[in-house]
Amino acid sequence: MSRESILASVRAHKPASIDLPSAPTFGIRYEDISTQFKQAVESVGGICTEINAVEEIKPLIDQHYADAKTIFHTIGDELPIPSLSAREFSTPHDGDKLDLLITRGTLGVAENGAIWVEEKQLPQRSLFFLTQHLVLVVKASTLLHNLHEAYASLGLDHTAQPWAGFIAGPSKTADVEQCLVIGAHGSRSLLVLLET
Amino acid sequence: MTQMHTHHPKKAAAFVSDQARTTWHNKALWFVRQKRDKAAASLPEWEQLRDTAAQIKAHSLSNLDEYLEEFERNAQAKGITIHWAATGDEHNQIVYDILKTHQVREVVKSKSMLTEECHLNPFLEKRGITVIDTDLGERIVQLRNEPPSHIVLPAIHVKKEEIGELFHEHMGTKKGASDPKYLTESARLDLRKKFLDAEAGITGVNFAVAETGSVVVCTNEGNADLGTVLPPIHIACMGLEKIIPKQENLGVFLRLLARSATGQPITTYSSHFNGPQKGSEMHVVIVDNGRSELLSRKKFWRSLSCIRCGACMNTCPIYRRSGGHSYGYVIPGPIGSVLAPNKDLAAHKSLPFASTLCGSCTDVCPVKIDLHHQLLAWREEVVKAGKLNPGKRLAMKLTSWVLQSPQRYKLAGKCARLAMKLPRVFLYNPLNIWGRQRDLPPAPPESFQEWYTKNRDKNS
Repeated sequence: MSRESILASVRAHKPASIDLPSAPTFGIRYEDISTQFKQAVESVGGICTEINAVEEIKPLIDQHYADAKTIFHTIGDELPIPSLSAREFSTPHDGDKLDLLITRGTLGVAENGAIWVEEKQLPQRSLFFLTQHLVLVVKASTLLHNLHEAYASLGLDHTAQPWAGFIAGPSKTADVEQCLVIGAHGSRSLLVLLET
Repeated sequence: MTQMHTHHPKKAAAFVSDQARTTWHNKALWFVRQKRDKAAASLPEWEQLRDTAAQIKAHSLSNLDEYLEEFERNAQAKGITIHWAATGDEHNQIVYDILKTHQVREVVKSKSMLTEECHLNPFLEKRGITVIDTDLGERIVQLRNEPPSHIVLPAIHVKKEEIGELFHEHMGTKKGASDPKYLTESARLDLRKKFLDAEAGITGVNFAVAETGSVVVCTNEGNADLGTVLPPIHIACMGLEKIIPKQENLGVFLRLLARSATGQPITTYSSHFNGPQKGSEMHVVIVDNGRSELLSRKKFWRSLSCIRCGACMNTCPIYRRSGGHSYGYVIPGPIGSVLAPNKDLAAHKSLPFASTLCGSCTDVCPVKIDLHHQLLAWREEVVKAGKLNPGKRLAMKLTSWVLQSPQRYKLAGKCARLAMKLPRVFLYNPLNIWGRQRDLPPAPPESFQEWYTKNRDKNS
């Protein structure tokens, strides 16, 4: 084990201590946070639609994902779309059969369109990545201007779960000649429903 | 895999000999640089962000031992196994031992410059373990049996027609197909199977948070997430400089990283790995491999602040025109040229000279590493170590001798103006390395001093 020798070497070589700056208070703020958030979601390859009530979700799903056969959602009985049972996902691999996942985001970030999601909201977190298409429902009241605000609001509670994170747009790559292709390894599309 | 040392001018010459390709490469990277500029300009606080990031890194590095221990404590409390590796070989052995214990035959890996630095893939492959790189760009260079040429865009040097050929051979795509959408889709289908079958997943680490013991990994493709959620073992490999003190610091770094790298406001997935999934194992390997010693080098320790965004290469006029492979080090471009000499000055002595010292790299660096100053400082080290090549040494000595005397300077100027009237062959011959790709401007009839002597009284 090199633990002791590495730490000793760091102690012997590190420069004189430099202060940690205080938390930034300069984060950008927007006049119209919803409009900025929508634009940000679109800039990262997603689609963002405002809704006033959960009842508006079904028609939008029918419109965008008419072909989706296997759907899992965590919206509850208010959403009249048949969902696979959570019991169908007893292993991470079971997510591979999923066409569409509809779930909620904890908060949205206006500067970059990122949406916070957590492992505990799904039977397997693999569903976030294995599903062919992803729909995230975000309450407009949870929107924050920038990432500094987002981390301040999140706190550290999420670290009790194995995984949590931001999702901004569908998976993508530009590794073939800098040509942007939506749908790399994760979801092929992201529809964000902003609930006002 | 290529050898890890090189004479940059020689390899660069090979790259620029294909002029069309050099132009294409240059433009592709400049396009990324422009996207970065747009993203940076969208935030009025950009410079404050850079200052803050630089300070957080300086603070973390100057208290690194304490933060490493804090990270270890908190990660262990979450059920993560922590390993320490003094060298690249020790790192490889640790990873191999974990895999061997679980009789793993096939492992999926997402992007990690550290594992490139340690040469993990050949180490594991020699011992019978198949490694599948899953970032599309890394998969491309892996199938081509070459190292990445860029730290964020590993296959930036490869044309889509060549990728089409490669995928036809390895994945059975249609012959002659080169549509990026089709090729990406084919790789998705091919790699999805490999994710589902994988027995272990290896990732790099973008940030390791001391106060929570979490590691954060950023990707656009989702490969790090699929590669860690499906197999029962996740091994995250990190250089010890990846530590940041607090979770709130992520706000600063995630705002800078993707904007600097590709001009995106954030990567698609910013995953916080807080511990193993139920029934799984999570390991973090903390690697030194020369880093702790670098902390004591006054002129160079801030290079450890690097968050591997690649902005310095995208903007570098030398990198854009010579390609990543010409550097012969795992990390190319300006940051690679200041990191490589730490490892082996003799092997990488040409890299500090692979720069115009224009300072563009320093201007775009999100953590404000003084890259062009460090490049200059490394040149001094090369000279001090007596490793400057004889031609350059002679030229420098001669220049110094000429510049030390006004008479010699005047005489030299006169001779040069005369010499430039000689036929081309006298000036542009194999002895004139400078003149290989360049033409001298026409010589003025007189020196400034001569002109000034004649004209100084005219307007007074």
